[in-house]
Amino acid sequence: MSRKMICYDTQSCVRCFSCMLNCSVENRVRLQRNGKENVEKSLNTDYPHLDYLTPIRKEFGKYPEARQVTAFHHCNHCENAPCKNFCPTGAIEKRQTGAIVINEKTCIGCRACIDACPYDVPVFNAATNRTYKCILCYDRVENGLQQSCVEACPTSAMFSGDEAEVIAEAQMRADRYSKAFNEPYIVYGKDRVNGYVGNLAWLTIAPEKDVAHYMLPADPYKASMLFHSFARTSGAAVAAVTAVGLGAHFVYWLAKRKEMISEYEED
Amino acid sequence: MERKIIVFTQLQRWFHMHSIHFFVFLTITGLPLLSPSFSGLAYVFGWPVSWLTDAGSAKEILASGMQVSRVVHRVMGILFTITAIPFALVMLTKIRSWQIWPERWGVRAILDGFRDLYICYVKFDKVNFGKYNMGQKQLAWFLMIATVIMMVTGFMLIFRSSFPDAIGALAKSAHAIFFILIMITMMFHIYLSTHPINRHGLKAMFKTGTMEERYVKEKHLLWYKKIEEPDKLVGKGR
Repeated sequence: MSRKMICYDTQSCVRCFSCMLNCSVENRVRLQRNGKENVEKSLNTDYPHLDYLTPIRKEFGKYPEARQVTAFHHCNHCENAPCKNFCPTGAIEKRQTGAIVINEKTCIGCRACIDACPYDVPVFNAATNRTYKCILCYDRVENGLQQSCVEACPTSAMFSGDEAEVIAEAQMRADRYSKAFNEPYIVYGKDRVNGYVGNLAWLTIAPEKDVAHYMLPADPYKASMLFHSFARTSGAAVAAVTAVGLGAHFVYWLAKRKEMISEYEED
Repeated sequence: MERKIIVFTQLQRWFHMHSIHFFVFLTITGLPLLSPSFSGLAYVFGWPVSWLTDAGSAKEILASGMQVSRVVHRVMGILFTITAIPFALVMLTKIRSWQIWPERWGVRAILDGFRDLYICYVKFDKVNFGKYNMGQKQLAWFLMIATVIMMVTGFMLIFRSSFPDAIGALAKSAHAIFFILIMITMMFHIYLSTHPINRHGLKAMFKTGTMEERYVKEKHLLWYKKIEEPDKLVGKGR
């Protein structure tokens, strides 16, 4: 199965939040399907950790130039997936479709993924001691369905499909907006964003000047994890060098001792 | 019978011994959490647990082992803290008589300290040391500071829901970096303290708590001059 992608087009979006609603419904259906909750309880309980798609409305600038954007906070399903790389139990896997999925059964709630994610996406739930994030509806996609958010979108502001066709459509839309509004639009995540995340399976079409307002940083990384990586990689090297150095000192001491004993015997 | 000089008190020897136990447990349970290269340890912990749970696949056994590592690591960290606090309080009451304070201050003193280490560990010649040489003093200070940092960051990680995620991530990184630094320091400490040239110190720490006066006079003259008061000496000829 080839890599699948989702694209969110900020210009076509009418902020109806059907995507968010359908995502929440889908996750409640999953609870029912997996026998974890009955229908009534699953519909009447808050599951903030299962809201994989969260709109965050922001206003910036001063009147009369003040503007609003609605940033969508969600997993971007990074090519390099730092959450997966830092998960100590291997509970996070990359599906053939490119979806980065947390296996609930092997997640131990250590929150390494939260520390690693430069987009601050995974959510820890103390009640279940697990971490949650968007699974790109891998269960639906691998059975020939669309992601629930895409399925709900009434304006095709969200669309999905194979990597090549999604990128082509996204780029075409971005070019069209650039011409129509006379300002550059970009497809965030189409190309390698940086070495930490790689490219993304969740693309976003947005005006270049507003990309940061859509919570899409130009250089996403977590400094604390760079220290952690440094400790992991340098630790082994420094320990090896130290062991060799101490071993050499011991051999040197043995040779020196032999020398001293023979000098003593000669005296 | 030759006069003996108390080098390490019973409390110091008891704490040192139990620090080793805690260090071993904290290391073997912390390594799988630090790096996947040590996930083999987690499988060892997870395998017996899998008999009692429905963990069947390799990944589930690994996850069980990781969870065991986390729990044991936390319990050991708390027990170590409970052990260390009374020890620290007792030692703080004698802070003026600590032998890890520098004999002299300044750049010249540091250079002389390095020269003495070179003579002692490379030339294997006699040096006029206090109770500890400069390397041992630095090790003691580093371990005290690093242990406090490990405890503070460790407790922050246990109660990390009380802190913002960014602070939790920083605590985790500091915990990892100081663990590596402690490991490297420990390699030096274990090698040099078990080295034949330090056998008297090793025996004092793990067996007798004392050293012969003749040896102290010969190897730790600066310290010997400080402790000539009779109440510090035990054994015949006191």
